[in-house]
Parts: sequence; structure tokens; C-alpha cells
Amino acid sequence: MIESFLALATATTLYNVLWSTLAGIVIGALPGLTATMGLALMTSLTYTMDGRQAILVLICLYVGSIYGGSRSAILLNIPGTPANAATALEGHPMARRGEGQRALGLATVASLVGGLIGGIALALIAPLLAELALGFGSIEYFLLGMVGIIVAGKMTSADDPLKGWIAGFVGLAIATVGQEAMHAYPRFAFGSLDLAGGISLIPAMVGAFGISELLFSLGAGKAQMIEASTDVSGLGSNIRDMIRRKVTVIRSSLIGIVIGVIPGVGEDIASWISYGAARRASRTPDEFTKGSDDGLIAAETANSAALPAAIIPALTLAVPGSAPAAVLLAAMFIHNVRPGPMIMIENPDFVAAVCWMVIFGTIAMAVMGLLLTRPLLYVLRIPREYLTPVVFCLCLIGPYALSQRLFDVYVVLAFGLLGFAMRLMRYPMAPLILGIILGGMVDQNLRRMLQLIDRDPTQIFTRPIALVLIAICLAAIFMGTSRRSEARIPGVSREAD
Amino acid sequence: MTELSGRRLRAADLATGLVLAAIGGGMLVASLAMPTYAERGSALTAPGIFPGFIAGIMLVLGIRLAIRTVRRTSWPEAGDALNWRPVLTGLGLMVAAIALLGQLDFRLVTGGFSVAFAAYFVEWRGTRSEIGRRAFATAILLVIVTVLLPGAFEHIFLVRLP
Repeated sequence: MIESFLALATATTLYNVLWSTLAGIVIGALPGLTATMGLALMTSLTYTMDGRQAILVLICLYVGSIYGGSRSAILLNIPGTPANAATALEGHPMARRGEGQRALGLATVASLVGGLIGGIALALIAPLLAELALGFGSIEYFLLGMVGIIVAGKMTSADDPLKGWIAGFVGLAIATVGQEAMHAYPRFAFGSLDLAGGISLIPAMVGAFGISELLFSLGAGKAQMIEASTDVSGLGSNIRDMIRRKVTVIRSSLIGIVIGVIPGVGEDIASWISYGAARRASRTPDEFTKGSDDGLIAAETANSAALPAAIIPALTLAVPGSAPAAVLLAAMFIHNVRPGPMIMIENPDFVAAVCWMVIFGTIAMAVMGLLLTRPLLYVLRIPREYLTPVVFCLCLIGPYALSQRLFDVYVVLAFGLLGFAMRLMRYPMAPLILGIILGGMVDQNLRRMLQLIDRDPTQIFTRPIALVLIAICLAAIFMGTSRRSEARIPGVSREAD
Repeated sequence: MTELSGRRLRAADLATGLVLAAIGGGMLVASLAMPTYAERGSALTAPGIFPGFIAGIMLVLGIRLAIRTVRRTSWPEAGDALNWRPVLTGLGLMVAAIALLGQLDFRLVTGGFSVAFAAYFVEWRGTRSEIGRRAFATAILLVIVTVLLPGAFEHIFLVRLP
């Protein structure tokens, strides 16, 4: 860890940490720009950078954007990213009663604490998980992919798991397009060379998260911003508030870490689950939705702790813990880093470097969040009429820059429409993206598994990890198809950003 | 809350269920028609296995969604309705811009898109100074999308734009 720190502690790193974290805060703060979209667009901008610095930029952007979303959640009542939806429930009422500055300060300190705890968890859990994953064979990898789709489908669409599963399997179906890895047979290409090349992840994500968000924001009403300057709240009082709520902080951090590690679930679900747990544990649950400190701290701590945790499976299993982590995973491949169980053997200092990147980004986020409160308010005032063409231009140019294929621009549009329709019909987006990412892995391991089982059908019962994964799959399916779950009215499909 | 609700969501879910089942069925047939490459060793590595597996699940999920939609009696209440006019206008402009990519220079496409977008979405009524400010902001927008962004990609990242 010390060597990684020393290798990373350069002026270039400091410069990249500062600008990318600030860019992340701005992206997160602007309604209509999400963390996933920001990362997908930034991936093309980091293409020519040194691999480690590129990953550093993307991680800092990720950290900044998840935090930046709390700004618009508190002041506009519009979560900048889905991970800040629970923050809006408590932060905006606080701002309305003249405690905007305090709410922003609490969100900043909670994000700092959650991010640091998550960063430590990343350093501790990643090596253990990588070691465990060394024992994975094709049976385990196939089942892991299925667990990812089924659990992510259940958790990102808790009120209507069927829609979460549909999104996940549609993602897997999209991943079948193009040449498969074993025989190079072009599946569902219909004679098109572009389709035979497959659907790339970055254009799909830019479309699903970028174009669909732009379209949705065009149809939504304008928000009224509340000024944050009506109260004066210092860092000291924010820290004292946090210490008074240490149980909430610890519980929310743990929830964030556990949810973050689950494939495809992500920060927004961690935030909602932590918020719900804080409400249940509170002695004054009536204060919730009226500007509760506990609720705000629970939401922000959990989403920030979930962020480094979401990188853990991406690094050690090549299975992302959230949608932005999926882009990060794709970026790692672009920059010749091979995530997976062998990473601790082949590239152990990279894992340590990623932990430091998260910690650097988290500290930079807190410093800039506290120092730049007023300038960041101007960002929220940028009218959408001027912002949308710039973002649209980036949505075209970014994916095109990666492959120089116009086909990828058409993919952006197609996924924009698909994402818009899915959101309109209350389908979560995260399982779709997870399906596209996991498709190749699930495909190859399914066929290898079938060959193994053909030789010895009983061996699946001699593998404890496989049995645990099967049990998780069945439990998630049972919970999602039970009568109680089916009787629920579908509410908001919360999607992982 | 701008998602579909009530009768519209019911119709959308039913249509989705049927379309999904149809796609699943089509994929299943196409998967069965793929070569097995059994002569190379084992038919268990056939390219159609995975799509066939996914297609089967999609077929089941689609049928389940359709049946559930027909049986369900309670639906989420309507929230704020989406304002479709700006959405469709924005979409139309985006589709036109993407269709013109490769036919016209990239800067002309993004510049044209921005001018058309600003002409429709920016409020052009008001006092002279307000209109002047908005025109200035639109000019800055044009500089960003026609000079700064394409220039950065072409000269810094060495991307040849369409």
C-alpha cells in the first residue's frame, strides 16, 4: 500500500484528482447528467492518457458525481443522480426551512466518512474476494452471472422484480449479437459487418443513460432553486452532528458496503435501504421526510460507501457492482488492465492504487464541496436549453471517438430510445447494462459447464460455492415471485446509476 | 414521477409481454437453426446454446408479464404527466442530426442542431436586454459545439470526425 501511495503521489496525480473530482461534482450536480453518463463520456477523453492516470480520472469523476448529485437534491429537490433520491427527501425540506448550508455540509461530511470507510473496505475485501475467486471454475462463473442478473433485477426493481429480470435478460440477449468467442460464428448479424462486431458497451451506456435522460429532462418541468445562504453552518458543527449520529453512520456504511459488493445493484439501492433502516431504527420516525438529519446522513453515507464497494467485484471478478462501475470495468479493459481473480497475482499494486484513488477522490470531493459551495451554486443555474446541445454533442462525439464507427452513433440513438421507453414503463436500467457486460462471460462459461457436466453430472453438488450461488438464485426468485411480492402495486423503479 | 400509469401502463405492459414473447420465440427458432460444430468435438459448444437459453427465459418472462397484466386489477396512480411536445421535438432534432452525420461536416451538424434547439427551447420573448443575453449565451453554445469540442477531439485526441 505504501509503495502504491508513493508511486501515485505526483503532481500529475494531484492535478488530475482536482480537475476530475470537480468535473464529477459539476456533472452530478446538473440534473440530466448522471454519474454513468459522465463516466461513459469521459472514457473517450481518457483514451490517450496513461492507463493508471485514466483510471484515476474516472474514479475521481465517479466519486465527485455521486456526491455532486446531493447539491441539486438539496437545493432543487431534483436528485442529480438516482443515488441522491433519498437525500432529496430530507435535504430539500431542510433547505426550505433555511438550513440549506447545514444540509450541504452534513451531506459533504457524510459522503467523506462513507467514502473513506468504503475505501478501507475495498483494501480489505478485494484481496479476500480475489483469493476466493481463484477457486471459481466455469460452473461458478456461470452461476455468478445468473446471480448478478437475478439479484440486480430483484433489488433495482424491488416493487416489481419481473421487470428487473426482463431488463437483465434483454441485456443478455443483446450481448448475444455479434461473433461468439468459441467458433467465431456471427449470431444475429443479418449479414451486417457492424452487427457482427457486436454491440459495444460505451455507446449502449451513453444512449441508455445519456440520451434517455436528456429526453426525459425535456419533458419534465423546471425546478425552483432554494438559496443555501440563509444559514451559517461550520464544519465543526457538521462533524459534531455526525459524531452524535455515529450509530447511523456505522450502520449506513456497512449497508453501503454490502449492497455495493452485490453485482449490478449500486449506490442508489444502498442509499434507499440505508434510509429505510435509519427510519426504522429512529426514535423519532415522524421527523423523516420533514428534514431529518438521520435520514440525510444515512442516505449520503451509504451511497458513498457503496461506491468503492461496487469496484470490488469489478476488480476481482470482472463483474461490476453498479452501472458506473461497469463503465469503469470497460475502461480498465481499454487501458490494458485485466480485472479478475488473477489481478492480485498479476497486478497487486493496481488494486492498492485503486484504493488510494478512491481515498484521494473522496478527500478532494470533501475539500471542494466545502470550499466551493457558492461557485457550485452557479452550476445549478445553467439553463437546460443551453446544456442539452453540449451534452448531445458529447454523446455523439464520445462513442464515435472510441471506435471511429458511425454505427456506434446509431447504437447511441437506439439505446437512447430503448432507455427512454424502459424508464417510461418503469423498467430499471442497471440490469440491462449488467446483462450486456456479463453476456460474454455467461455464454462461454455456460458452454464449458455443459461439457463438464456431460462428463460428470454429479460434480455440481461437490462444489460448495456453486451450491451457495444456486441457493441465492433460488431465494431471489422465490422472494420475487411470492404472492406478497406479486400483490404489490408497482411503484417507482429505482435504478442504479 | 413522469412514468406511465393506469390504463396506459397496462397497455404498455401487455404489448411488452407479447413482443418479448415473440422475440423470445424468434430467437429460439434462430438458435436452433445455428450450426452445432459437432464435427469439431462436442455439440455442447454450439453457438446457439446460449441464445437459445436466453430466448427460452425471455419467452417465459414475456408470457408471465402478459398474463399478469391481464389479471392485475390495481395500477399505480398517475403522477406529473410528461410534456410530450418538447420530448418529441427534441427527439426529432436528435434523429435528424444523427441522420445527417456522415453526409455533412460534423460541425455543421452540431451547429445546426444547437441553433434549431435554441430557436425552439430558448424563450425569445422579453425585454431587449434579456433577449440580448440569451442570444449571447446561444453564441457561446455555438462556439462550444462547433469549435471547442470538435477541436479538442481532433487536435488533442487525434480523432478524425465524420
